[in-house]
Amino acid sequence: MKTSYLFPHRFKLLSGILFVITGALLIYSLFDSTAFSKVELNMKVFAIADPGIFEPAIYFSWVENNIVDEIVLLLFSVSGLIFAFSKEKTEDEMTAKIRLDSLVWATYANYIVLMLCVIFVFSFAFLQALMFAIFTHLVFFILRYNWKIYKFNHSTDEE
Amino acid sequence: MKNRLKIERAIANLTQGELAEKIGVSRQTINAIEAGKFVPSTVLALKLSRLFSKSVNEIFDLEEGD
Repeated sequence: MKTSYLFPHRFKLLSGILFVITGALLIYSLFDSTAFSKVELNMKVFAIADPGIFEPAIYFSWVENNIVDEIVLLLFSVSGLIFAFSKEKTEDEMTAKIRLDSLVWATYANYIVLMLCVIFVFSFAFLQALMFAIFTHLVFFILRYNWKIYKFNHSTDEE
Repeated sequence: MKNRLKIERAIANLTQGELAEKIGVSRQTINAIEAGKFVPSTVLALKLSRLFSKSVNEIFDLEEGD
């Protein structure tokens, strides 16, 4: 089946490894708030908005910033997208159906969790939950899709 | 939807894997179609029809509730 919006199958392994590594780094940074300042990679970057906590807000100008966390987040997003949307070895309409089903399922799951957070989580913890929700959509999709594909690939032969 | 894919495949003396390769899908997809778990697209149905030299209606049939 011809699909123009999927990445080649050969990208799947490498992007998967990168996704797990950057994901682990992000989870580690939740427990150690200094995680991303252990490596210094300061650069002048263009900031559309940098409200600052103790400093005055800055808009549309150059600021000094440690870009390690930006790099990790970008790598996590890019590798996650490629891993999620790369072709299977044998790409056909059944894998396309599993992909679509999983995408719908992941969207529902993510919003159910988000709504539970709206009800039960407050103040700063809620902001953190919102940040989580941005990435869990992709994570939910990846888990559910690969589980279904695994089960499908190991479905029994009736011969 | 009912289908006679398994019977047609037996008549043509093909394994699921061989049939899958001929029409460009995975073996598991053929398995899912035969088990009635997956309804193939028109394109796939026509490919199967051409392969077995039978009309689509002879391989696939609607059932009550479709």
